[in-house]
Amino acid sequence: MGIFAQSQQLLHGYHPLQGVYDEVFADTEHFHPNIESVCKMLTRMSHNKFKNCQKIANTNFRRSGVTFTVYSDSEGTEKIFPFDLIPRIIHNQDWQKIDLGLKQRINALNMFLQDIYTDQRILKEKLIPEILVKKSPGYLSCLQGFVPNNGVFINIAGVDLVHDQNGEYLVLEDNLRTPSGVSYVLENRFIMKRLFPDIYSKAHVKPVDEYPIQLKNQLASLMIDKVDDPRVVVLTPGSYNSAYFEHCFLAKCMGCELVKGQDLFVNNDKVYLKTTQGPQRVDVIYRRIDDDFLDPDFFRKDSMLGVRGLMKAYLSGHVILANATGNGIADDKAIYPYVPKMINFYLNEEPIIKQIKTYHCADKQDLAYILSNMENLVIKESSGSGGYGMLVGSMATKEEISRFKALIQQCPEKYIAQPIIELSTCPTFDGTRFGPRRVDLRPFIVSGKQQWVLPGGLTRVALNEGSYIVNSSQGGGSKDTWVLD
Amino acid sequence: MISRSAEHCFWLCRHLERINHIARFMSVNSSYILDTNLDIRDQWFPFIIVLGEEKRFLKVHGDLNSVNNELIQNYITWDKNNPVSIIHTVRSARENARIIRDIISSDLWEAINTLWLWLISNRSYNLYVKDQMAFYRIILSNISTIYGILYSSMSEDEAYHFMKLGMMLERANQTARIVDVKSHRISFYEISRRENVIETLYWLNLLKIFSAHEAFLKKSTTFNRKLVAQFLIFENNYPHTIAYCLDNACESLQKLKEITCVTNELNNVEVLLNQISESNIETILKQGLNTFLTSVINGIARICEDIESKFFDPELLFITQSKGHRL
Repeated sequence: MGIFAQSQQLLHGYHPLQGVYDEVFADTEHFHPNIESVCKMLTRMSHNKFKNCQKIANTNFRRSGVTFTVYSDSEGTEKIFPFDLIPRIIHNQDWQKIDLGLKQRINALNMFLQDIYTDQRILKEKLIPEILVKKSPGYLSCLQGFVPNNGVFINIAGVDLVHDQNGEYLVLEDNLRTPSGVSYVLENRFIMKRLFPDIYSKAHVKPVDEYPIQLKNQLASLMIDKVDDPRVVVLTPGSYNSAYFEHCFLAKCMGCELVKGQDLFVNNDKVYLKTTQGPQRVDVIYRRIDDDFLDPDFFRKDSMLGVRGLMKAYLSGHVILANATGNGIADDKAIYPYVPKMINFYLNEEPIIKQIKTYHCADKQDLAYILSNMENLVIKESSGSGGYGMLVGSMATKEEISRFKALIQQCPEKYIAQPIIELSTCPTFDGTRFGPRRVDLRPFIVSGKQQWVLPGGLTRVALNEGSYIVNSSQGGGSKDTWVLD
Repeated sequence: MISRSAEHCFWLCRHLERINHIARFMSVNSSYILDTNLDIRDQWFPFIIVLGEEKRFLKVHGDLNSVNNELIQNYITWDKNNPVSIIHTVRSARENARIIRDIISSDLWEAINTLWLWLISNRSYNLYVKDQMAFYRIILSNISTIYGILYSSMSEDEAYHFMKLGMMLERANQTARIVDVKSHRISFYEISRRENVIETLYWLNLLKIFSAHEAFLKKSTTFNRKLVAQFLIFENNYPHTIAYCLDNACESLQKLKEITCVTNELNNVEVLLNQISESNIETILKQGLNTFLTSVINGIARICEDIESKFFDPELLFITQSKGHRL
């Protein structure tokens, strides 16, 4: 009990949960050996110092407006994304595997998209049921036959990972359309450096500040063959969007203009920006607007956020959209179970990072299993997000389970089920004491002519005790992620 | 820069300038009315007129309330439905700043956000109730900080000049409006010393609204309508006078014409400035001070409309005049 009493002053009395992997403690008395020295440095701090630092962090976020808007609240109030100061620490060796695994996965998903929108070999080989693709809302048949410049569909990916009870990282889901959260990674890191400069420098953490530059370079690389100095812009739906802060932040750090649909126009299939110096040609658009709202001439007619004629310009190769349109088929939850097969088929490799077993409600055998094991499963809508529309069997009431059973039976192709994974926990401060709270990890992968993975990513934490839901709109917060060099 | 962003820069500074004026007026006026026995209708209501809110205020609150000073002060500071109240204007300034966060420096954004967060907190209202002067002083101090950051942390590029343009035009507008209303209400005969003192205090107060009393004193120790009006219209090295503001607006506009592709049609600021510099206080007083000021106010309104249409709403015709950029 020796080490515990002295150096663990900060986490004194912390009890990791049984049967759950804790990010800091290997067991009740020891830190994980490969991150031990950093943990020791962090826990040497006193409770009071920690509380003061937490206060400074909150003031800082509020003042610089690192907020998001929750619309279920009738006023649309701005809230700070709660931030907990204890970082999640990953050793370099573990990270190497994740880095390679993510690049492999995104590579395969990209080739899948190329294939689906051209020859569809994977469907012809019957490795994926054709009906799943054809019926998916993410598959845009109007884009059949088109491949963007350099074949890259997925320019920015956010892959959600969980650390299971055996200490293995598994892919929970892919976000390949407009993944968000990277601005929090950058802002969190800034405040950690400010509050703990000593610990941070001794720990040798891989830096994250180059993300915006890497992103800009990779995006520009897609047009560099055609144009000397490609102009990259960030397209935002506007200041009423809940992630507006991130759009602004990224545009600024990338050195790109932040534009709204109304600032752009298309002439002769080329895209221009309305500036006070006249129209300026635009080559790459990092768009944070969903496919549906991009172009009233091509998608939803009622969209006020898009640009008329944008898709024509895109399809004629005069402008790059990052991410490409039509990526929804690749992050469709119904397609997710087939990603390991994609890695086999396109790359002739075995997946470096495994994923969670998934059952389809649309499959009769799976459905029978699902209906008789609801308490041990998580049921999700195939096209859901934000943690809404899902059921965690072990925490649901009998009525909720019956209701979901009925929903599934009405519309089986809308739902999938996965075993409940005991998400890892990380010590988190609840205002009074430290307790284990569930975390996941969202690393970001940038692809242009080359791939680059942000070291670490956004660690999301479920702030409510016992909760498994980490989304910001439902009681989630974040932590910094330290990948040790 | 993006035309829409230019518009936000322009309006951001118009809003900041309004906040400055309103807070300044409110703090000066409180102490002024303690020294006089102005008719109650002349204590606070004139400012409602300056703000252009006479109609709305009377409609919502009725004629009887035009002498309800507490209500008027509340209307000017806290009324969310009053588009030129302090809270409404600070909110607009903050929204504009938030929309152009990508262009303005982070220091500038934080300073504006700080003002907003303070204003919507309980502390600010408690202070307003307890010590009104201190309340307005905090607002003014925040605006000074904001202006300081603006002048020291931004390159003098397009964004900066659009901001300066908005600031100067709004300031000229406010100066003209305040002088106009304040010069309506005084009678100019000097029958007794007591009335003389009142007149002196009256014009001194007017100068204090623009923090100009000390600068004025360097030129003259006599406070009367003619000299004060002359100062506030023509003095071209004091930052709040009409001539100074229009001169600076002209300068920024000139810089913008060079940078952007707007043609030389936009010269009505120069025209207005020339009208003023070719005139003098005697002619103006003969023609009618209020007539003159009204024409300045209208002139500035037309200038703003022109700026909107030429810079912020460029037509597609521009595609043929792109100054040689790759098309």
